[in-house]
Amino acid sequence: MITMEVLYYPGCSLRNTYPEFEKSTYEACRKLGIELVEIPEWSCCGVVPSLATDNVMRHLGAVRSFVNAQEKGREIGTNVIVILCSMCYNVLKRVNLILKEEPDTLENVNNFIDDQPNYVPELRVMHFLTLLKEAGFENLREKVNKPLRGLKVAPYYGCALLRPDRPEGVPIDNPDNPVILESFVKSIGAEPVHFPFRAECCGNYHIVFEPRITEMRTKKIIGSAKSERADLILSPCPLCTYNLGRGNESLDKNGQVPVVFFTQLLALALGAKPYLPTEIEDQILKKIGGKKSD
Amino acid sequence: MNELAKRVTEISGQNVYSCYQCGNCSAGCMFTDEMDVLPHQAITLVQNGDESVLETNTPWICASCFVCSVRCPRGLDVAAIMEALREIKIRERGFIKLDLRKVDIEKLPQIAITAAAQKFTW
Repeated sequence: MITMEVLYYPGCSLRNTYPEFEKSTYEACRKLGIELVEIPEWSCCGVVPSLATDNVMRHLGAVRSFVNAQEKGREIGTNVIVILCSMCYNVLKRVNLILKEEPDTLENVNNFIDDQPNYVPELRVMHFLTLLKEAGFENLREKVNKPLRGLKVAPYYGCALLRPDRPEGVPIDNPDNPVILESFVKSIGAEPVHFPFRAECCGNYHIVFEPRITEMRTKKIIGSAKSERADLILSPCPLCTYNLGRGNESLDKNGQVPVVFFTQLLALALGAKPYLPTEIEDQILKKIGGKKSD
Repeated sequence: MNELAKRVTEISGQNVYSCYQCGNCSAGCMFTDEMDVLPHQAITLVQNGDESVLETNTPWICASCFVCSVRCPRGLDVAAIMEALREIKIRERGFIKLDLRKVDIEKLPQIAITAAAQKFTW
């Protein structure tokens, strides 16, 4: 893989709730020759995209980050923003596409944000998985020095990477039959298991005041992965990870399936530090017959 | 167009009269067990100008997973219609769906609280 510099939007969850998601990515990127250049003074994206077309206030967090990204991008000569969190990806991707398609909305937000330069919608918002795919999963396979052979992984997409399909370009793969996570899992040497709940909703924000609903959803998702004999559930989303974790807590030990971020397995397969809980890392190593990373 | 349909259209940008009640949205929805009326029924109520739809729990049970929007053969963004129904209530003075002062911020992650605040407060 060639060395490249891209803009990087971390998002709040990677900075406080799940630092292992970000740290394992940095470790992996070092091995892959990808330099993540953090957008200065990025703002919270708002987590869920506003669907009200008569109110653009909820887009502003994303736009403020774009303005800072566009300055930094000019400096380093790229227009690509890479995002890890699926919720952040969904919001930023949507807002960027809306601003590209609707000149009136763009003018409206630019007029509102009068303390910063105007945003010219020329940035390209990309999920980290898309970056890996475009660089070639076959090239990734060549960089893997600790293939996770024998490890059965249930790739869980959730919603935000696949839906909605409008504006066009939001899903990172075919929303009805995605394969990108499976291709990723194969490229790191593990075996993807197909489970029917892979693109079903975890219950999203219901964890806040109707945790019963998220519990009901996540138990089905975990049960589905379990019945396909998955060793792990692979998650690209901090909120799904949290909700699935709460689902695991409500199940007895035999029904649980540990949930890890895809970048943690990536780092492990590249021989870098995966920031996995010791117990899970030991389980994986036992399965693949390897030694602990340093 | 009745007043309710007009407001829903204005907020969501969706023409609710495009819906011909095929029920694909309700068939794909993962949360219908919890709903007072099904998503396609909620749209019928809007078409009829029946404001009782605003008092159902349906829009609040919607988790914005967008399965309905992806599957609608009429190209309607059903999730945006649900959002419009929520917004009509949220924009009423004095209406409180989620009291953020009562949320357990020690236990819940920021991502969950922010998402809920975006959907259930204004």
